[in-house]
Amino acid sequence: MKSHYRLLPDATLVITIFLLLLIPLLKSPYATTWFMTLFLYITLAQSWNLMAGFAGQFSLGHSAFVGIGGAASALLLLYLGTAPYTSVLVGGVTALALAAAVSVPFFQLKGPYFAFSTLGLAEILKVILSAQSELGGTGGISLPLRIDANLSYYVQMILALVTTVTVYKIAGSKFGVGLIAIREDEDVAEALGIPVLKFKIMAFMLSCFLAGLAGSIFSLSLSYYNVISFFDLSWSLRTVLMVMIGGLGTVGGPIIGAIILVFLYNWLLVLPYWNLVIMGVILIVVAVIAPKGVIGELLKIPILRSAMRKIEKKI
Amino acid sequence: MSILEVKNVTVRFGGVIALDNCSVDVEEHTIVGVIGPNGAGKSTLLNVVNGLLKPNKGDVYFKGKRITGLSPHKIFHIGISRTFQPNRVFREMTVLDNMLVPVAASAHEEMSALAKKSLSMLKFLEIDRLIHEHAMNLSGGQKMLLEFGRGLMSDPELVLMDEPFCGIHPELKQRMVEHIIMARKRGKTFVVVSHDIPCIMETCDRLVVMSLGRVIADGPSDEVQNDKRVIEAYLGI
Repeated sequence: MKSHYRLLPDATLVITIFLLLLIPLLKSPYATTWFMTLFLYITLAQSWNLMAGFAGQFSLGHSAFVGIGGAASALLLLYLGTAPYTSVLVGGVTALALAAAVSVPFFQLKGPYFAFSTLGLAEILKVILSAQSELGGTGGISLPLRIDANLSYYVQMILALVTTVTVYKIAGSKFGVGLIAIREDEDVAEALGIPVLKFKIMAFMLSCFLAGLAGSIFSLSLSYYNVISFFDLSWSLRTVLMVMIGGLGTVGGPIIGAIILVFLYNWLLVLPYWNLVIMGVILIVVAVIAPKGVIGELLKIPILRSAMRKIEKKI
Repeated sequence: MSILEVKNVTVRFGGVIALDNCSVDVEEHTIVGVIGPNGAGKSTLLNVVNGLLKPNKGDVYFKGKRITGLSPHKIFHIGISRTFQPNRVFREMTVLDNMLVPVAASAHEEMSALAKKSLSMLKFLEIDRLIHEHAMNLSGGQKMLLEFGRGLMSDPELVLMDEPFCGIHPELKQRMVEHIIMARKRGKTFVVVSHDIPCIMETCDRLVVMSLGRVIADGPSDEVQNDKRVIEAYLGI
């Protein structure tokens, strides 16, 4: 079955990827950094979207998994001299293990209680880890090795692409159908044979694994790790904002949201004390005016809606 | 042979006794109607059978195997499906995706094969033209048919239906009656909870009448409807 969540025709996708491959050749540090931020945001938005947009489990603690992934890979690099990309993988696995450890008790909670439990996890870990001298305390720590910017660019691009393809594949799979059913009505999904807890845990673990990888790669590309900034609530808020702006529960939405946020965030950097306030206001405005995000608004245009229908009918 | 046995089940919600030492047997390949006034415990009975509620006392057996306390998804996979009242289709999902949910966690077939199976079920129910429509856009009757078809997708042995004739056009009601009878001929067993006495009489082989959490009458439909206790429970005379 063709997924009806696909937004870009195949040819456009190939051309886009090809053009993105050329960006480092421009030798513009600004362009490279801009796109690296975009890839990081896409990874975070897609991974959170899998859990919140598809399975309906709103977490406010995505920063916990970004932070723990970064911490694990920083420790490996600093004290064991592990190869950079092995440490990234371990960072992802650490985030996955943390998700597995908290998932059963957290999923006893629903709705806002689940959201606040994840928020609490991020804050608790931030307090505990910021007291650890091995991670540089509150001042952060420099990592011994700075990897090539171009290589870092391609790795982040691949991660964003793999995350997007993963979410796209899940959206058109039986697992995806199960997740959406859980989002829609948990009791009915369970009564129709969906192992709700198992599916939620699987989505949560995958989502956190990807967030952990993103955190690890980010710390590696900065050659720096700081508990306070990696566990900062703004990571979670930015992630929620991107998905809400773009369109929750779609594959294209988080990409659109990430592009908008990278522009927005660059502009908001001139207002360091106001950027969280402005993002909060934008979130409220989007929730009120366009609850289905940019994608939802685009689908109100008849020609785009009929194009989507054509894709849907290719079964 | 009994496919379903509910034995001495009691369910309490605080001080309210929803099921009071209730026992019901369902024979294979039959359609059993469950009727009774509001608060009689009909929906609670279905919730206990499919695992949404755990009884305070008593047991449920399916094909001789005790299923009390199993989670709803496990009960579904051993062959018990159900519909809800009011209908609970997945509103934001298309008709096709709704049909795929019951097979999402079990079937080994590819999505394309499952989509074809869904289409043939929707054709049987005469709502195949709506396959790509979002369920929220369907009429009440169409939602009922969708829920019915969704309940049959996993090829269950026993289907529990909660008020399948509620609030739908007489013509659609008739279609629903015919579909249930046809599915029984294909080897399914049904337990149908309803207030719609004419439809229940037309559909069911046997009637179980409940009042205040107890079974007050049980037998062939035509006999039960003339039972004094039943008339009393329904009409209060």
